Amino acid sequence: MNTPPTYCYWSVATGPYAEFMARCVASARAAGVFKEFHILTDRSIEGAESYEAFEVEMTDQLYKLIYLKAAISKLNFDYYVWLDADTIFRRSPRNLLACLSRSPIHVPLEVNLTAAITAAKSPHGPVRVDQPQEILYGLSIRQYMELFTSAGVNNPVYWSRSAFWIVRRTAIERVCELALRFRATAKGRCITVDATAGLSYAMQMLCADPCIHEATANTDLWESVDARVGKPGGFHPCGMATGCSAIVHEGSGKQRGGNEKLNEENQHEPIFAN
Amino acid sequence: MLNDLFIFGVPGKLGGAATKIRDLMRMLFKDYDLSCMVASVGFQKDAEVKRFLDGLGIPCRLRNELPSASDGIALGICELDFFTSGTARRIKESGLKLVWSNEMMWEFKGEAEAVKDGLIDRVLFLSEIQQQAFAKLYEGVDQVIIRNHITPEDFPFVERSNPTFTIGRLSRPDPVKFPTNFPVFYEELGLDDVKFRVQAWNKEMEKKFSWHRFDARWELLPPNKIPAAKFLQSLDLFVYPLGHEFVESWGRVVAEAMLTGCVPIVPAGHQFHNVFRHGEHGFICKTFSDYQDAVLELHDHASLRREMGRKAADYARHDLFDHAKHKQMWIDALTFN
Repeated sequence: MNTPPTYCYWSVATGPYAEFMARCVASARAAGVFKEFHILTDRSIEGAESYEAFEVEMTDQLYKLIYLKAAISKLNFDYYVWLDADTIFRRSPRNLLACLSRSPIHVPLEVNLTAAITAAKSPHGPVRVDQPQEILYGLSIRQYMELFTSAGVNNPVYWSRSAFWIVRRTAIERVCELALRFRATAKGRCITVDATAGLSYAMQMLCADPCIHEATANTDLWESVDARVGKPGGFHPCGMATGCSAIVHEGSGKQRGGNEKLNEENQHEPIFAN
Repeated sequence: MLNDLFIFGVPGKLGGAATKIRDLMRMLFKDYDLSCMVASVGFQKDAEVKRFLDGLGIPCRLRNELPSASDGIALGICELDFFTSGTARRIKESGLKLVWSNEMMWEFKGEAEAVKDGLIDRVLFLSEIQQQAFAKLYEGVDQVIIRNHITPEDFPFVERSNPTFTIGRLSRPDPVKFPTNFPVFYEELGLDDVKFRVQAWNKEMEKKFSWHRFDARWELLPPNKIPAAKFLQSLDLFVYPLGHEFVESWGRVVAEAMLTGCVPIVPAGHQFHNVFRHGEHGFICKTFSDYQDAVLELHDHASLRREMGRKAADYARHDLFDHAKHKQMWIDALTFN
């Protein structure tokens, strides 16, 4: 008989993020989540396995890939679930790994840029791209999409974050390779992209049907209510914030009242407006 | 008296170039005094090569056995070291006219220098897309487009009657030919009761897709495990997504699949519009969703699948591969006034 695949949650949380992480783990335990949490941190976090975080390359969020490959992959699980520290559990997720479908990675795809651009062309379209210039990594949405298509994404191009993502152990090498290759491709065009864009690329290259990985296809699992995404009266990516997800990314900007240091991380989010 | 034609390349049953040489030799061996020129003794001793050449009465010679002061034609086909080994230069020095067919979408080592030195008298392309890729390099060099030829009798039509619906693909075992998401791509097509057959598979392919768990639906076969025609006859659909860093210069295997009655479902951005008509003999797809629509439509409608397979085979047999016309094109391409 096949044993069900195993997984654990993991994160990197030092300084103010460690407090968020402690809150995240506590909410999980309160919701009846008994899976292991493995946190690279600078203090002990109750309810989690805490490991001393080393000094690694923090630029462009590369630490996520470095820790995944060098440390987390040594833990004996089939899948690893990354959580941003500013996440809480409303309830225990049901069949968490189902969102992967046949793919070895799941990153919630939040905005179908191809569809947004197409809709923007229509005077009756539900979404308009308000400021098409200088939005993502200094690129317009079109340029951002072109970067993905030139790197081999044949399907519609999506924008996603890396607040929550899952990777299969056997695919860690491949995912990191794809993410870093994408970064190198961008660099070749004098564009600096972070690990988030790399993970988004790896997701879109390692799935066949991106619709399966849309955030809206898995609203019972994860959602983001990060106030910094979508402008007042504006477009919320893929109809987020349903209020029924087990795992909720609250966004540290909301928690900390717009702490500038934390907000720096999200400077590459797209801006949409009606 | 027949003209001398020295073909530099090895006939074989695997890969576009080798199978092309095989077909070409069968087509031209009565019209030329043909010699097969190979790089090493190993090829001369290869039982399959020997059997094939002996059957046509074509001598197999080493490259350095090229006669001097010859006034025939040398045809180089997809020989990786054709320029770096000095072969092209020796051909010119011997007085032969040199016709070169690269077959790939990239430049071989030493190819640019050979063009610059005037070693190539005529260059052959498989398609406009390939010609375009080499436009700058071969500016000013005489050039001819000759699409691939396949002997239809080698790929007989078979009415499908698989107990389990079967999709698959055939190519050389080159990881670059497979998309990054390959196994997920097949599995997410949404076919419930299905068999996936892939030839050829090797260690490199295993490594590339080591992250995937291949279940009992998959049959991953090593190169040449099953003769190409028999393998293609076993497929209901030839589903052929390609790696993003690879461009098919022509796509010979797609035409082979069609000859057997297999419906091709292939990616856009290659040369497949020159091989079949989209929607009539098969489908050319831009996104995964296009592939899925085509596969499910053909899976759910057996009569449509049969009709399309029959049309694909007829089109390939009667329109793509007109033996007499194709032979004349080759004779013209190998003639210098």
